[in-house]
Amino acid sequence: MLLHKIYMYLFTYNRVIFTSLIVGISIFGCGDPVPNPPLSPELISALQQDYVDHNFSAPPSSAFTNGVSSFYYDFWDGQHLTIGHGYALNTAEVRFSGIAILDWDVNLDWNADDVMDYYFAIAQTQQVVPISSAYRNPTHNDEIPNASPTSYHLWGRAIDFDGYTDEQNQQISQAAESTNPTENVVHYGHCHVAW
Amino acid sequence: MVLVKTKSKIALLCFLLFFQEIFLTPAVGVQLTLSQEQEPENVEHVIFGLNHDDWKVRANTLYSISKLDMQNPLYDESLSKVLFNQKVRKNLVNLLSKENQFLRVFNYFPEWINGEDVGEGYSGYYSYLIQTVAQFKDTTSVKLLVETLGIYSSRVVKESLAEIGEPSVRPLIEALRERRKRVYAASYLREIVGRDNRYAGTLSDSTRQLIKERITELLTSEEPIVRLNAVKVLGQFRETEVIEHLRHISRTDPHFYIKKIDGVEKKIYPISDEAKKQLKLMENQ
Repeated sequence: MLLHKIYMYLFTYNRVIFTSLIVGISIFGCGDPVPNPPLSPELISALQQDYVDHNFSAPPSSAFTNGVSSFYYDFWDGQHLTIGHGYALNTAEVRFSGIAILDWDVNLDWNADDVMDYYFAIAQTQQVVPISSAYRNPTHNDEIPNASPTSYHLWGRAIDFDGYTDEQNQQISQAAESTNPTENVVHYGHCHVAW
Repeated sequence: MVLVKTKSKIALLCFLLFFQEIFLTPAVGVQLTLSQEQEPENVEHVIFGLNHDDWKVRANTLYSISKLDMQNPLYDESLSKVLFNQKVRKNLVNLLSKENQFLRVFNYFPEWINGEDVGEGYSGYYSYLIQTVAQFKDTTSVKLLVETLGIYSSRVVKESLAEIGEPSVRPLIEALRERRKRVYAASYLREIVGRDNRYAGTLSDSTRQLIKERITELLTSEEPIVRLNAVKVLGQFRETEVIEHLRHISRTDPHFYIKKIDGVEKKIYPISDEAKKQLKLMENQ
């Protein structure tokens, strides 16, 4: 009887705990990243100040947008591109995981779509490719080892496609060439594309 | 009358004194001499930085003198003229040559240099260097810019090579032989012969013929991405022979993938579709 009770206890509650863990991991990716906070005027001001603090001219408020999604990117019938480390950290320590911080004429959502469209077409796969970095505000950019001070990530103009192998990264880079990028390079274990 | 003349003389004298004070004083003379001497001094300083053993010093020197289409907090306006100096330009081209040689050893961007994790910094600097050199639109740097393909490609370089035109073609044709560079070289050649390239008309007939022939050969490549790019290049030639090739590809290219559209799986033939698209574009011209 006691054993049965213990079994039922573990079965009932562990299932809840287990399910919560699975849901938590799938949503928060083991704590990294977390969903975007809403783009409040205060957050935009903080991000703008971050640029000024790093000797840049601040982008206008209109340049900041939450885009299509917070950290999952809708793609082809419910498939997703996942953003691993595509968050940014502003001076107020607010994590920001936007893929679609828009530059004035660059839309990362559409460009990511185009690259994956070409990649899936050529590689005959629909294997989801994680995005390891997209927009970075200056403070977050500084956290990257030896980050470029002129990185296109600072202006929401670059995406890092984190292929699983060098060959896959090379294929993504070849696919990206059709989107006429400003920078197209395989480095540091990923394919970096900027427009 | 005498008074008027005297007043005029006084005014003239005052003007001359003022002129001398402003423009001919020794202080100004010293300043002029200094500014004449400043340029070589900056040039030498910049050249020293560009040739430094530490890549980070080379990078920071480059960032201080070159401003691309982005905000650059390290850019020093007072050094901007240095970029027009032929000696500095020559050193930048030489620097690209050295970095290319360094990368050729690895054949990709190294993650470590001299035991240090270089992160994205080195490739960011390399990218900046290529784009800076590309903007000179100098025929002598064509070979170096083409060498970077397979490791790096950029719209900026592509547009510069298209503007340079004829001298860019041979190195790109050579690059088509290398598997790793093929797709990028084809993409660059497409820009050169492109309908939208205002310099495309400067190409000789023999050069256009050469491009057409080499690209047509790629239609039989085993790699779908190569065939796709070949079709895109050929689409820029509105000629009977090319139209025949494209029609053939549109009917026969076997490459397909499965795409779900509204929950239904459908076979898509991207290369065949691209050939059809190019043929339609030709018809609409």
